[in-house]
Amino acid sequence: MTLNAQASVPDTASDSQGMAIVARTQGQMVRRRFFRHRAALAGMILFGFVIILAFSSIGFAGIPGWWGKNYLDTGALTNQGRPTLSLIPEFLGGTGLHLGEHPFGQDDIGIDYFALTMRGAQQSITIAFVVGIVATFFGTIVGAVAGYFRGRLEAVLMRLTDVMITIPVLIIAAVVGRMMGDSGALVLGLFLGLVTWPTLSRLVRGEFLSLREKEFVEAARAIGTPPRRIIFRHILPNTIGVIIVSATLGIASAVLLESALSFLGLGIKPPDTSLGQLISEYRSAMVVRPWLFWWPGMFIIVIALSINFIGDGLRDAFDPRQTRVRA
Amino acid sequence: MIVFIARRLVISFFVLLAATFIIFVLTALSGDPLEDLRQDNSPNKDLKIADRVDRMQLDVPIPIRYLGWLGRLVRGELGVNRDGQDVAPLLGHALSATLQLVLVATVMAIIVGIVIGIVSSLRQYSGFDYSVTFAAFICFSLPIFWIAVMLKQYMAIEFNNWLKDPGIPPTVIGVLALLGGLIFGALTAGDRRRRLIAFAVGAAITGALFTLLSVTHWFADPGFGLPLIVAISAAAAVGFTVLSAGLRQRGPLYAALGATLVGALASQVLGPLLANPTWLEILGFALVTVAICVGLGYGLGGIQRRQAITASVLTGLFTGALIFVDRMLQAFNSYSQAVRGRPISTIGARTPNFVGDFWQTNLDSAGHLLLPSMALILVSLATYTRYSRASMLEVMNQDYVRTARAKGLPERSVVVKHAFRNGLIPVTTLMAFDFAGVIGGAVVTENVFGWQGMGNLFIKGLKEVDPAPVMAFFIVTGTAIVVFNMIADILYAYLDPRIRLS
Amino acid sequence: MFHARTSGKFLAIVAGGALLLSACAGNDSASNPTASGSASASAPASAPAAQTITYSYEQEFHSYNNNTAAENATRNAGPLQRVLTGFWFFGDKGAITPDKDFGTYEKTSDDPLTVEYTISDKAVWSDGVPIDCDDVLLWWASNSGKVKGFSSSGTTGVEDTKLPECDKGGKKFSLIYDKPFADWIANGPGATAMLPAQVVEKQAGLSEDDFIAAVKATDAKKLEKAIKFYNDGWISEGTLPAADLIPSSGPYKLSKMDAGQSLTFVANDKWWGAPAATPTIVERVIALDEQSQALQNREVQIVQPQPGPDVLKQLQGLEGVKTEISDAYTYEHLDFNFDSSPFKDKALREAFAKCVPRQLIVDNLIKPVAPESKPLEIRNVAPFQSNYAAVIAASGGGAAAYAQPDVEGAKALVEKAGKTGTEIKIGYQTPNPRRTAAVQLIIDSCNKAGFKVVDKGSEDFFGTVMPANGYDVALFAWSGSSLVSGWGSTYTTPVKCDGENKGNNNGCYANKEVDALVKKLNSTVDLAAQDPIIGQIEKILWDDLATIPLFQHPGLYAWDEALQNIVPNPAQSTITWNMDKWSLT
Repeated sequence: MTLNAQASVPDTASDSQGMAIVARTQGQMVRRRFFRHRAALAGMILFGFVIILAFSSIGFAGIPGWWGKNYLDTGALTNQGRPTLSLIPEFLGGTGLHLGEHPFGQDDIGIDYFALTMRGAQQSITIAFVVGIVATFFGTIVGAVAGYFRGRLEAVLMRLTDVMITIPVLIIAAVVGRMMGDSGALVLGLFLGLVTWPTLSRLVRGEFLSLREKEFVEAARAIGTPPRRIIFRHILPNTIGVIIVSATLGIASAVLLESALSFLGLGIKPPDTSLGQLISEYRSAMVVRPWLFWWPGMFIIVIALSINFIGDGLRDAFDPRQTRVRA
Repeated sequence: MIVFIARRLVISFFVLLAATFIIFVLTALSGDPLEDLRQDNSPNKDLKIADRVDRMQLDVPIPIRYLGWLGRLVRGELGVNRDGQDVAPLLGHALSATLQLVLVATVMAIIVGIVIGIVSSLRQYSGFDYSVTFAAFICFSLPIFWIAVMLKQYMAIEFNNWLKDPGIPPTVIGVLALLGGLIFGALTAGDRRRRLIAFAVGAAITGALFTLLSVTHWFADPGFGLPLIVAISAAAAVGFTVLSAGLRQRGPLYAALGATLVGALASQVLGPLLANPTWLEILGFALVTVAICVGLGYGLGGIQRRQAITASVLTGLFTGALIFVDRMLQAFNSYSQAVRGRPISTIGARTPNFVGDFWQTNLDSAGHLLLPSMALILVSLATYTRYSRASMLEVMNQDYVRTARAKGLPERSVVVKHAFRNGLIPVTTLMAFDFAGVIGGAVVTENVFGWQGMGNLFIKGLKEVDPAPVMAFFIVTGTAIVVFNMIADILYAYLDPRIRLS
Repeated sequence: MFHARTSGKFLAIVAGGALLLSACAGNDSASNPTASGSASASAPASAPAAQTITYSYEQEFHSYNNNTAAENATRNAGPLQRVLTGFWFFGDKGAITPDKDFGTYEKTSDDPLTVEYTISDKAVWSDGVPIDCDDVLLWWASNSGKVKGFSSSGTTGVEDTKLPECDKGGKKFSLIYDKPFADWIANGPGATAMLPAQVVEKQAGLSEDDFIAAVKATDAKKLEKAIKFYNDGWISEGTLPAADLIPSSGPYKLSKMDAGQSLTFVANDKWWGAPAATPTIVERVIALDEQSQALQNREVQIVQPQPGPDVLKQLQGLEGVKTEISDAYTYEHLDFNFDSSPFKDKALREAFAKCVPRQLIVDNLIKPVAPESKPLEIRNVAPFQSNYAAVIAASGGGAAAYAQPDVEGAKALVEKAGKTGTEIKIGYQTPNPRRTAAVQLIIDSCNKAGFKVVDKGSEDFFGTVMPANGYDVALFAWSGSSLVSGWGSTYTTPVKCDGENKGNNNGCYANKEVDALVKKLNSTVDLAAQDPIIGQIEKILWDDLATIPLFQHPGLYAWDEALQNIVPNPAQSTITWNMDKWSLT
């Protein structure tokens, strides 16, 4: 979370009841509200855990991880590839708490399924974040420029947005899949981000349209502040709530978008994998080898759910208008 | 206004034109249209390749192919797909299939989503609110094909198995009772004691209800029967009256109860007419119902005539719907036997060559629509619930609502008259967006449930690198997106007079 | 507080009330369950229960004419098997089987090769028109390439025959070949090939006499309208063409098509042979992955899902379902690039063949689905064909040397050639999890032998990678056949190694001996004499290591136990080849 990075407006207003209170910056208030949102906090801890687990276990980008196996090595099937993870302690009639050789089992050619699931989680998280960042970046820039400058520039940008909105994401995914071959999650995420920004740009433009008429902008313009500075230093910080919330929700839906693409055969290409790829591949195993279906599925749900809760917490933190109603 | 619409239309036209070019080029570049033939090792491979190259004009540069497509479009032709099938009739079939699927799902999602959203906003931070929020986020986080696979396994196959001997085991009844109690408890306001009582009552009622349903094998041969229809309808009459007019004046209540009476009477008298009606006749009955109820409201409404009409029309239509559902349920047993005792299906839009009366054929459609609709609903439902909750909360926090309360208006008026309508403004725009999106977004659902709709037309075309069906798909969805976008803007301005169209 | 309480009341009425009342309602109905039970006076619904059998197929039926270039596909060939009959069909295990109901044929001379055909006297289209000379001429005109304009899925064999001599109403004709043709037995009009000429004549506005005369004169101009209708007129666009355009010559006729959903067959009352066992058959369009659940829910009674260990176990676990695994004609193989790759060197091919874990690939990837499966020993005859053993014997068992991987032996060969560390690009079409897995196994084994194998799977393998020689060895599948004329060209030296000329010989394998043998095979009219020649070819292919065959693809079928006479078929006739025998007990 990069909440500290945003420009903060000092809050010097004193409480109407006349009690002396310490002035808090906008950032501090947001942080306080966010950490009071229990579900969001739980979501953040959970999500942090998943990220650390996924990236540290099998390593990433050449850095080795602590889990001994990787997601490409085949091997002999032990016990027909059943999972060795045991969570029921001995005194409850189970086989004790242990991970075993292949906690999540093995796939058809003996690849460790825990390693595969972790790789899938890495890829899904990477795609989701790349989509989120790219879409947020472009959405914000386009929305800000269109909203601030208005006129012909706005018309052009907004028509561009309209065109982008009508283009089905699946086409982009299909083209990227073909052109980029197996260059993987980063490229796929980049292109998906390049088509999913229009929603945010509309939101940001809306915010800019109303903010640019505010007195403080007027004042800044009057003293000759250059437009770039007005946009980035004066208006943008006030729209940060909308942007961050939309970015988190975008990230959560990108996780699901990736799984849908994989289901339709347009996602990450084997031998690399993603969570969506894994569940769609082992969909038919739901009855017979349920672990192949459930583990990646659980990770998708946990990732999407925790990001959604973080987003909800951020919304409440930035925009307290919807919190408590007490008449 | 007219100038605004005209300008938007012209701009939209060019937006669409640009998009068609982009999509045509992207589709043509998305793969190798000859891929399947290149893997072929039959002696006639070259012939097949030549045939396809000729039909799809693969030897012509893509932009020129696009112009050719555009030229045909201007003449009203959608072209042929790579196997020489005319795309227009294919589009027709696909569109009708998708609309069936999407309309039902969207309408259900909107109604249920908004109701749940509003209730949870009025009960903010209650157990109910938390459960709904959590459930909504779970729905947000589920891959749709995951839901679909689950639904097929448990709601169709296992449910049908269970229907053979539809008894509910005591443990399940226990769980259901617990759930019922929790819902009652969560919805009741007040201190802990009141909530506990509500919990106990709710659990007892739910438990008793399901025990009875189980013992009598109600699910094998369901139905309401007249007394039940009257009871539910009367309850609805009271509910609608409370919502529209309050119980202070008796007029509206009498009008609504009158509608119940008329409905109950009609269900007995019209029996033969309902044996095998057509949709047109059903529509006729609905219109007659509305007319009679308007009359009732007008006559009995007294000082609150307008509210009375609303209450009695709603009650009348609700009773009609109840009778309709009852009839459907009565046909359930015979339908179920006709399909080997497996009424919930996992695939397709209807049982091939099914012949039955009005009720049975509709049950057949319903049995096929149930699962895909549920899958679609679960996802949109979450969206509608969240949005309506959020916007309701925002409205309830506004000064004018506080003013309304301050001047002593009953909570019913505050919610129904002042908050509700304004709270719905953002939701309407969502509706417009969502509907257009769902038409295209049903790709996965259609795929899993074997509906050959728009999504399948599109994805098949895309996989075969065949622009004609992809473009046909786009003409419909792209236009829908642009038009709904415009409608959303106009609607927004209409509902919120502060916004001016420029 | 005040508002909270009032709003509480309000809610309790709305939400709680509904529940409460529905609860009372439940009691009510339960206390007199007869109220609803006896009230259901609806007429009994007639559904496809008793006398219908429903099978599933992944692709939708497209055209009544399975003989054009674009529509020659199993999606049409399957459903039409018992609608348009002919002199022969792909019968049990895909074997060429004469259809005695339709007529008879026999070879009457070897030089010139002459085959005499007689259509049964009783043979009649379901519209009452006898099947005779004009139908034969339509078949010949459209499949011989002699009349320009007809779209054809292939003219092999028929192009070498003279125009069949017959007159209006005639039921006898002969095919006289310009040169010997090995597959003469399956070269006459077989199932799905013979189409109703009367329909074409009517659409083209020609009389029967005119049509016969025009074909005899190979007058494409006069036949222009007929050709147009033949090429496009039978293509369905979500519904079947009008009933009078699609008469039947078999036990079933097409009765109804529901776009994207189903195709219905009903028994043909004009059928002259043994009547269909079940009056109605329905084909439902269901994606491969969804078929097993549809069977489980008994929405269909026969499924042909994508074979996989999980699907198999799931189907085997179902009550009242019979599961069968049978070989398909398709087989997986590794195909070397002789044009530009390290594998021009035979020693490296041999080393590679030694390190490819053929047995392990079968054990890991195929046996979970087909426990009986073995690594394939020859290429061009499938294990289920009657002449499989004979051909293996004739080939001298070249596969034995490569039955188990010999990594040490391979390493020695690579080292001897001084090519340790040679990069080997394995190309294949993605996405295909099974091939990806097979490549992974090859990488693991062959890298130990001193190769540096890399996975070059690509989504556009056949379109760009293969033509550009961007691979050293390709992993893909070929479809076999009980006909010999199909595969010979695959091993024939191309005139020039480029896209135009190499045909199916993707790697440009060249061997003069094989060329001569293939030529000989294609002109061997005596079926029994073909096996030794095929064996000789296989022997050379093993000696040269032209390709490495891996395994036969398995096919998976499952059906409701109550059904009788369901017999899967590996050929393009699909499981529907005997659907008139299907019955429900």
